[in-house]
Amino acid sequence: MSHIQIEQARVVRNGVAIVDGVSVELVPGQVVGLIGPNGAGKSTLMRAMLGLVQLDAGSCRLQGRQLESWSMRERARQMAYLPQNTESHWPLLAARVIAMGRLPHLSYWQRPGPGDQQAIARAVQLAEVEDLLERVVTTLSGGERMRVNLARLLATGAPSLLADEPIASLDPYHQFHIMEIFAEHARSGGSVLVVLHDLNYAARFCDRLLLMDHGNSVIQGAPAEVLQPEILRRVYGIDTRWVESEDLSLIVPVGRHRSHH
Amino acid sequence: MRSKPRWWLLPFLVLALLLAFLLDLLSGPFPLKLSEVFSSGARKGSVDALVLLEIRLPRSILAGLVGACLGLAGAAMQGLLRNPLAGPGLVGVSNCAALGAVITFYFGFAGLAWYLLPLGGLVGAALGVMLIFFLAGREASVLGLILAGVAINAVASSLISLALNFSENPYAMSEIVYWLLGSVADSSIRDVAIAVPFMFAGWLCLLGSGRFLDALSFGEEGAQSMGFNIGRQRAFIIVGVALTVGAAVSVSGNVGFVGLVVPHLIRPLVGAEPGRLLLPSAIAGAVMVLLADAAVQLLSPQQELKLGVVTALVGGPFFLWLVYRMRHEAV
Repeated sequence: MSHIQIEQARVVRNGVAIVDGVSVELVPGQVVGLIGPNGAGKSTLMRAMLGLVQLDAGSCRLQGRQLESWSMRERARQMAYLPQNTESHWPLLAARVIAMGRLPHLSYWQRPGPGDQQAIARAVQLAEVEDLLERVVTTLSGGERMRVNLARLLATGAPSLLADEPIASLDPYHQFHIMEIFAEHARSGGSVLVVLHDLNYAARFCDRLLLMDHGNSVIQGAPAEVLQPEILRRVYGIDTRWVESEDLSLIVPVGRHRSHH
Repeated sequence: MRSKPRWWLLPFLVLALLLAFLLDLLSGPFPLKLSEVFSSGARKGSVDALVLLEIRLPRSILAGLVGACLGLAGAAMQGLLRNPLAGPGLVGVSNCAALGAVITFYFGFAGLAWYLLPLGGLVGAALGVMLIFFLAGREASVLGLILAGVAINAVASSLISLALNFSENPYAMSEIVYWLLGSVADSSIRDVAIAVPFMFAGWLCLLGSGRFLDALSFGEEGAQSMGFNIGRQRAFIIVGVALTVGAAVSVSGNVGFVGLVVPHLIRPLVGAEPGRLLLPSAIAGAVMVLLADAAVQLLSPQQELKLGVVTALVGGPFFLWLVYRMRHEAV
C-alpha cells in the first residue's frame, strides 16, 4: 500500500493554478525526486500532500485513508516535513531541537519516556550529529543545521519524509550525507519525497522522478526516462549531455538553449 | 551565548518570590512591629495587625499576581509572535485593556456586576492582541511589530484620556496617570477576588501552550507539520493573554515593561525554549513587581511614586540596551 497518494491535485491562488492536475505516489522503499524550474509548483505540491495547503480539486490519501479524516497529530506521526527554511527563531540547543521531533507523540503534560529517548538516540546516530548536541542551533553552519533538523525529522519515526530543497546550500560532502540518509530511510521501508535542483543527485539517489513545469506534471518515471536532453531543453531551456566516465554516467548542463524564449 | 537550562532556576525563583513578598509586606509609610502583630494577634484588632491584613496583604498579593500575569503574558506573546520585543505593554495590549477597564469603570457598568470590570479589561486586551497579531504577527518582523505597537499604543492611550475627560470625573487627570502608569496602592481584598478567577483561567491557557510555542520556533508550517492545529492553539494563547493582561490591568492599571524585561532575563537560563520559559517568567514577573512596589514605598514614603514609574525606570533603559544589541546582531 502506498504511504501517500495525491491524485489530480489542483491548487489555485489569486486566479492562477500553481499546481494543476498533478498525481504522485509515495511507496515504501522509494525515494521520489521532485524536480523542475523555479516556480514550477514543487513546494506547493509538497505542502498540499502534507495538508498544509488546501486542494481546490483532486484528493490526497494517507495510508489509504482520506487525508482530511486524519487529525493533525496523527498526520504528524505519519509524515515529517523539512521546509526550505529551517532556521529557528530562538537560540535553542541542538539536542532540544531533535527532541522536539517527538512532539507529535506526547500529550500536553506528558514527559518523554524510554521509547522517545530510544527514537531520539537512533536519529542522532543516523544523522551523525553526536558532536553537535550541545551546540546552539543558531550558531551552526548550514550543513550542520540541516543535519540537526534531519535528526529531528527522523526522531518522529514517521514512515514518510518530505524535504524541500534540503541540499540546495550545502557543500558536496554534506549533500551526499543528506541524500544517503534519505536512501537509507527508504531501504529500511520508509518513503521519501525530496525537492532537488541538482540533476545528478536526482539521477543517483532517486528511484523515481517527477518533473514539473508551470504547475503541470511533465513526465514521471525512472531517472533515465525523465532526464532526457530533449525534455530538459523544453522545460529548463538548457542543453545537456550525458557523459560516461568509468562506471558513472553524469548529466552535464552545457549552456542555455539558444532558441528558448 | 550560554544557553543551557539551569536546574537551580525554579528553586531560586521560588525563594526570591518569598523574600520579595515579605519585603513588600513589611515596607510602607507606617512602621510595622512584627512582634506587635504576632503577640497581640489579629483578634484583638491591634493597629499593626489591621494594617498588615487590611492594607499590606491585599496590596502585596495583588502586586505578585499582576507581576505573574505580565511576566507570563510577555513570555507567551514573545513565543507566539516569535519576536523578543513583544510584550503586552510595548505593543499596546495593556493600554487596550486599560481602555476597556476605563470604559466599564467610568460609565457605570462596573457597579452592575463584580465581573464586569475585569471583563472590560479582557475585551480590550483581546482586541489589542488580535490587532497586533493581524498587523504584525505573520512574518515575525521586528519593525512591523514595533510600528504596529506604537500605533496601537497611541490610539489606546488617547482614547483613555478622552474617555476620562468625557466621564465628567473631577479627578480625570490623576486617573489618567493611574491607568497609564499603574499602581497597586489602596487595593483591597475585593480587587484580588474579582481578578483572580480571570487570572487563573488565563494561566491555564498559557501554561498549557508550552509545547505549541516550542514547535512554533520553526514557523507556522513547521508547527502545523508537527501536529498542532494552529488556529486553535493560537486562539488559546490570545484568550490567555487577554485573560491575564485584562484582569491584571483592570485592577492595577498599565504597569509597563514587566512582560518585556522578564522573559529576556529568563531566556538564557532555560535554553531559550519558549515552553520552558513560561513558568519561570510568571514567577520572576511576580518578583519584579513586588520589588518595584517595595521600592515605591521605600523611596518616597510620603508621596508615593506610581508603580509603573519604577518598572519603567528599570525597563526603559533595558529596552534601549536591547534595541542597541539587536542592531549590532543584525549587522
